Amino acid sequence: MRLMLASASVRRIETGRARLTEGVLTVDPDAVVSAVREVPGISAAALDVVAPGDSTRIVHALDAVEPRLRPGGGGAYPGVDGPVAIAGEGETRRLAGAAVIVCCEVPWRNRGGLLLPREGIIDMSGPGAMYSPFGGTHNIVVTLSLVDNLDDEGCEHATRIAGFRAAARVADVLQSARDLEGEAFELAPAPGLPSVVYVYQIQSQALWARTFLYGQPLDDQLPLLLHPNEILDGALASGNQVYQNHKIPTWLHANSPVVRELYARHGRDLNFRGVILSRGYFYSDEAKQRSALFAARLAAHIGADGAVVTWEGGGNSMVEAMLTVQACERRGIRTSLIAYEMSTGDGAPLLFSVPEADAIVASANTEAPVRLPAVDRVVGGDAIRLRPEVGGVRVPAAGPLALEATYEMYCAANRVGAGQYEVVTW
Amino acid sequence: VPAVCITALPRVAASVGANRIVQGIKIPHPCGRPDADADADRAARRAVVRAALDALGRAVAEPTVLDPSATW
Repeated sequence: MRLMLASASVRRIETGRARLTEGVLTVDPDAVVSAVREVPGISAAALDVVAPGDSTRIVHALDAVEPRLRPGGGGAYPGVDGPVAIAGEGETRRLAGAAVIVCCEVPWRNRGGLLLPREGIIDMSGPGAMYSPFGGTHNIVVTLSLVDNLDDEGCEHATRIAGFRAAARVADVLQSARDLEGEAFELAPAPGLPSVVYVYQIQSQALWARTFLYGQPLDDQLPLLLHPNEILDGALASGNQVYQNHKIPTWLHANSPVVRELYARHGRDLNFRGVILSRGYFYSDEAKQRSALFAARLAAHIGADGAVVTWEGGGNSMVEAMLTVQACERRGIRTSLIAYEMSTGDGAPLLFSVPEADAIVASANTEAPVRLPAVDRVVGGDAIRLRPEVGGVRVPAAGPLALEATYEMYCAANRVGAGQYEVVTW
Repeated sequence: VPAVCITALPRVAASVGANRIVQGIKIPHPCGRPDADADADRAARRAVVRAALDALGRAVAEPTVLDPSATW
């Protein structure tokens, strides 16, 4: 399986007649908006362009999608924006350094429920920018209005599909692009090196908390084996909006730093044997244990000597991640975990741990307070919305803002290595 | 004051040092079976709550799990 990712690096985005010239991407707002307006449930859409360093805050952020195009035909995200097909082979073109960010203030109807789309904030400059990988990308922000009385399923579908439609339209310029930078991804045999597997645990529970594999929701899915090229080539799509700091948007699945790093070291330090896609948020202890044992069984089956485990989502699914570490170690597979901390100064920083989890990389502290300065410009809406348990408290988005923790900061507590944090070893 | 934790994840309760732990049913519904008919749901609820009351009367020295799951 050989994938060629052909990239055009985007240095600046402008609006006007669509074209791509020496790193300057010109987006046609009317074309993107009209493509989005075709999605059932969307009543209006607006487009804004924001760049790193701008005094700009993006609010109500939902999915982030990398604009991509398959010159051979078919959707860039198979099963979601085109027919079902296996990703990871052939050529895919991408606008590197660019992201379509979908923003919408979705109605909160299930007051007090856990599974609803929460506030997502991206700052493009100042101290807030480091929280999100999208504080450092050139973003095409598509702000949506929904038709009245759309049910929750309709709201979720409309906002999710709109991102893919917008990204596909932006990516049209790649059809005639030249001077693309190619990267080949192929797992050539690497004998004599330790075999390593990546256990990629995603979140998929229910509406607003779902991940899709080739368009299929992964709720209740037991672990399965993927080729890493599938991850890098759009096999996964995100419909996960419940906590914006914990989640992995579609863009980040397709640009997984863990997959890329394991690839970079394949044939040099290790033999990258594949990706085990597993799921957290099982609702009983035995179901969590079943999934963990199954992930470790698959790892052993493909001969893994080592495993890297990450998980998407919050404390509930930390249990599957820890049990997976334990199950792998008990099979003699040396296993490391990328985890966030939940540190408020007192008590353990991990909700749950196992003695076998003795190699942990900390990616963030979810509970650290966030202070954001005032900004000149806000896109995606004009207020941020906090505290869904009381039906929402609106705060003017331009700031300054004081947040109790990182929960609204987009991808701030991801565990796949994305972000602009400093790394400290101690 | 004696206390009991009813939870679908006893291992998490034990890891933070809860003394008396009762195995609940599922994370979203530790004391019920919304998937079952009304009689079975009621029986499961009674089993969980009775186990919790039983645990309250016990002297325990370390995290102790009562598991009524055989009854549902």
